[in-house]
Amino acid sequence: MKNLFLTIVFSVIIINIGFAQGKYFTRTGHISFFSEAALENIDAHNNQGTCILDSESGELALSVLIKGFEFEKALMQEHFNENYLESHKFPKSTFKGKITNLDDVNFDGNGKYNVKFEGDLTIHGETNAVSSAGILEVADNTINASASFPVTVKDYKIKIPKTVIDNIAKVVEVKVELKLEPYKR
Amino acid sequence: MKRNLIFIGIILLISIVVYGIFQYNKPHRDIASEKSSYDLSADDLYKEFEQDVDKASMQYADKVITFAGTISNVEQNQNGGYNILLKGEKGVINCEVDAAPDLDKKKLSANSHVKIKGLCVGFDDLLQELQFKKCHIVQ
Repeated sequence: MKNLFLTIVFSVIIINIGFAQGKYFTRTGHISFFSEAALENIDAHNNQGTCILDSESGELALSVLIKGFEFEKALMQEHFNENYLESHKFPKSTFKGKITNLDDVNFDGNGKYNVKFEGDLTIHGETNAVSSAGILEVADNTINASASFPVTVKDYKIKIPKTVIDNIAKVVEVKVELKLEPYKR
Repeated sequence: MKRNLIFIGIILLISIVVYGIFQYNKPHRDIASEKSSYDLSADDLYKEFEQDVDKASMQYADKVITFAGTISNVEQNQNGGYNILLKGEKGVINCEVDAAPDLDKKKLSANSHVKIKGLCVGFDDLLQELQFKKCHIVQ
């Protein structure tokens, strides 16, 4: 009886540790994008991207608030929020997906791994399937993750007036850099 | 008469161009010198977002707010700045501070009580945290 009790207690503890080890997160993810056009280059940065990565299932969730992006020019930031991304209506952008080659990654040992991921990217209230590749660098229980992928402005129903259409790239390169740490609740 | 018209035309054109340049180069909001619209405790602020995210976002997002709370942690972000985390009863307020020379790191130790002024970005539901940027420590 006592043994059974101990077994249950230990399994609960082990299960909990297992879960705690399986998840990684960040709240200071760096998300940036770059638009290259003839007249001017535009880049914007956000240092408050959030992410949860489940190392057991490979599931990946990212979220970023549109109003958190900082531009070099205040006017661009204003147009981006009010006219293009309409951040009052669609305050956040999310990615929900999966690492598809999880078997190639050893989360318990230090090393650098090339990963592939796919999932749903939501920007401006529009969701599209995306897939791309990135790098996971495991170093003493923290993971430095980086990835970049192209976002076609038209796919997300972002309307850009004809007068400035040449100033903004049709495909914007989005870059994600995350320092993930073990997730404790 | 014709000469006058051309003159007015040129003046108008110059004004438009000058206005355009000023608009294009207009400065970012200076949060430090802007007056804050609300002054409350970090817990009360968080509670409002927890109760009704949409309503609270409408009310607070893009506004300068001063709030008082207790530091749980300070993390350096990848841009060289800092994110101060205020831990309330219910959840975290993530305050991004620009790397400023006046940033007194002694004040930033865990468990110290601070008053922070910053620009409200919104609520992140993945981690259930409230985000602020361009923050300054007032007290």
